[in-house]
Amino acid sequence: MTAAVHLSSVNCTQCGAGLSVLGGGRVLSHVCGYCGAVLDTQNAYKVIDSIGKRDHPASPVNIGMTLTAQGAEFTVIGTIGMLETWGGRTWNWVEHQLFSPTHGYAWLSHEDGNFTFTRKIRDFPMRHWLSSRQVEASETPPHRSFRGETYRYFETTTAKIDFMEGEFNWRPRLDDATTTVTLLGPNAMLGLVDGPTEREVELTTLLPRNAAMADLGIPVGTAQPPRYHALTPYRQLPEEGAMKRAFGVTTVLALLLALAFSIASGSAVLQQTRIPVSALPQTYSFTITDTARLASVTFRSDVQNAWAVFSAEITGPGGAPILAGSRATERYSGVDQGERWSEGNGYGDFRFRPTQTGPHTVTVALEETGTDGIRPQNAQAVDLTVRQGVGSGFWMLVCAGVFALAWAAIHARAAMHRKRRFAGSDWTDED
Amino acid sequence: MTGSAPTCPNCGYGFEGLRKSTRMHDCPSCGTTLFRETDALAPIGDHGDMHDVAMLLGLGDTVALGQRRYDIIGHARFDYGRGWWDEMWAVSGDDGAWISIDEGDVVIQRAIPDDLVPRWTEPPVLGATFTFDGDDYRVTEQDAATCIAIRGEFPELMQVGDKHQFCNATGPGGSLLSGEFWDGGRTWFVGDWLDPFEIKVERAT
Amino acid sequence: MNPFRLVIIVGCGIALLGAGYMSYYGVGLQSGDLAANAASLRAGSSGGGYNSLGRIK
Repeated sequence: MTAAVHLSSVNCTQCGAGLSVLGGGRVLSHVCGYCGAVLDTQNAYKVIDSIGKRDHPASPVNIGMTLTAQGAEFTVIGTIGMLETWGGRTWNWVEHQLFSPTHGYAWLSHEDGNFTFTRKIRDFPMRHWLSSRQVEASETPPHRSFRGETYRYFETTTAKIDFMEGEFNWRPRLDDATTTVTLLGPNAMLGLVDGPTEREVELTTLLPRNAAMADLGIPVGTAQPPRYHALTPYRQLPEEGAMKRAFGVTTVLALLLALAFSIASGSAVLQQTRIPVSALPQTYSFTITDTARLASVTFRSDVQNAWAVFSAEITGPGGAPILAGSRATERYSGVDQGERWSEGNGYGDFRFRPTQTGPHTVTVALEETGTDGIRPQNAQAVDLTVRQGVGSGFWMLVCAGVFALAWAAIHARAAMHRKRRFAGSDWTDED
Repeated sequence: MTGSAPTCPNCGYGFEGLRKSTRMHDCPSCGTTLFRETDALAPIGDHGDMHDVAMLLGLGDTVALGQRRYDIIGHARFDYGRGWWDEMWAVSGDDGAWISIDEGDVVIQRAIPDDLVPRWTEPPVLGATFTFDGDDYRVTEQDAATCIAIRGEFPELMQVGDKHQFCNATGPGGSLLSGEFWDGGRTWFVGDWLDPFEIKVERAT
Repeated sequence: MNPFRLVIIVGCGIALLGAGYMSYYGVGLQSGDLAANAASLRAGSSGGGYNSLGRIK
């Protein structure tokens, strides 16, 4: 109920202290910050319990502060100190009840220098409830879907109340324990809260720290630096999605082009097959018309378990030698421990850049030869091919490699972020 | 005075474009609530004091729910002693629904036809359970309320000062049944919770 | 279109065109072990082809 009358304050019916009334009509209890009396707001602020005088837990947030969360204006109306004991260790944190006349009741928590905003949600399908017992029985981290996002098991917390002050839209009691199973999603945590009287589902988001502190009026400089929080948002690179797509597409295109360049190996200007090795050296003439692109000389010999080195000396249009190159051709095969192997293909080639168009000659000669292995066969004949307009897939492959790396780096960055978020999970595979 | 454009019998204010389904409305000029008879408007009382407070939805706003857009054309406020809540009459074409707003608890409900209503003739007690449309419901709230202010158009007769008993019963999957009981009558409504953070509101200009 | 996206797409396009140019003309891909003539080839090399395939056998 929206409060009918804007009460600004009431007096504690136990100690008489003036208490600010900041909450709405749904507030059920008001805990006096001076004497610890728990007052029933629905019944003339009658004392229903007392927690006595207790030390206020450390929190930079005080009752009466205001902040805007998810577009709604909230006022801090209550403070709850929580205590978790597990394995001989204890953890303390503070939760503050928030109130907005338009958006109702929510929670602001302060832990490890981070501020989180938690609110109850009513559209979680309760038949998909996940209890701590189910978590323990599970082989893999359980997960649930909510509003189209996947939330994966993060931790189980059993905590009890050890301090309270201010107004609450429920009736908190000291030592009331709640067990919360927390699932972590991409932008929020889902808390399945098993309380003393009912089960509730809460959604928690991390508030931008500096903005929240400025909003609450807490000087940013004085606060402890925050520890990493699992809800720390992934900072997307500018246009990350577009970059991933563009880099992926470019990689694929570059690979296809590399393949195309490798297959298109220019046009033959000289093709001599089965030149008897015994007849070498031999000279052939050919005509170069393309000096912009590479030309190539290819030998192919019929060696078997042998090698043969051929040389080619090329003369230009004036008859003067312009370059010479040699290449080994080799081929070996055999059987090793029952497995057939072969190596080398009998080919050898080199590339050069012709400087002049016109008639050229190539003189091919056998430089060296030798055998290795069983049933060797020295070269009997050699094929000679000269091509011009030769391209190469090499640079395209380099291009594909660079873009593939860039693409992988973006993915790796996102994957590392995901891994880091779950680093604080209490899931162990022995669970 | 013509049937198509009735005027306020109290101050003479002319009403253009009243919806066919509207049974009553208030006069923005003199604050009289008017009951619509076949061809005239009968004054039935004052439209009450509507304190100006921050509201999630207000008269004249448009709210998008799923595929439909609802215009808020009626606003009634009910007091239950310590506080109040607001009921908005929202229309979208031929569809009409009540949107109840109470400190961030927002529910959209439609009236249940008489032949399907739960059997209770008096408000069930807190914690009572019953079945409706195959689902189990539990009564989570029960109280009395008084209508304290009325603005805009409504499909049914409502008067400032009207008192009724009400109960809310929660079902599976967040559905909510509400019953209203008064001397000689009852109405039941069924609907779902809305998330106040997810509601898209276009404010009246 | 968002200028940053345009930069990405244009950048990818330039990289492809550049790599295409270099692949087409075989920039820097002429064999590095060629001699000016056959005599210097023989003088400077003992037929370095052998084992150039990195035979393991």
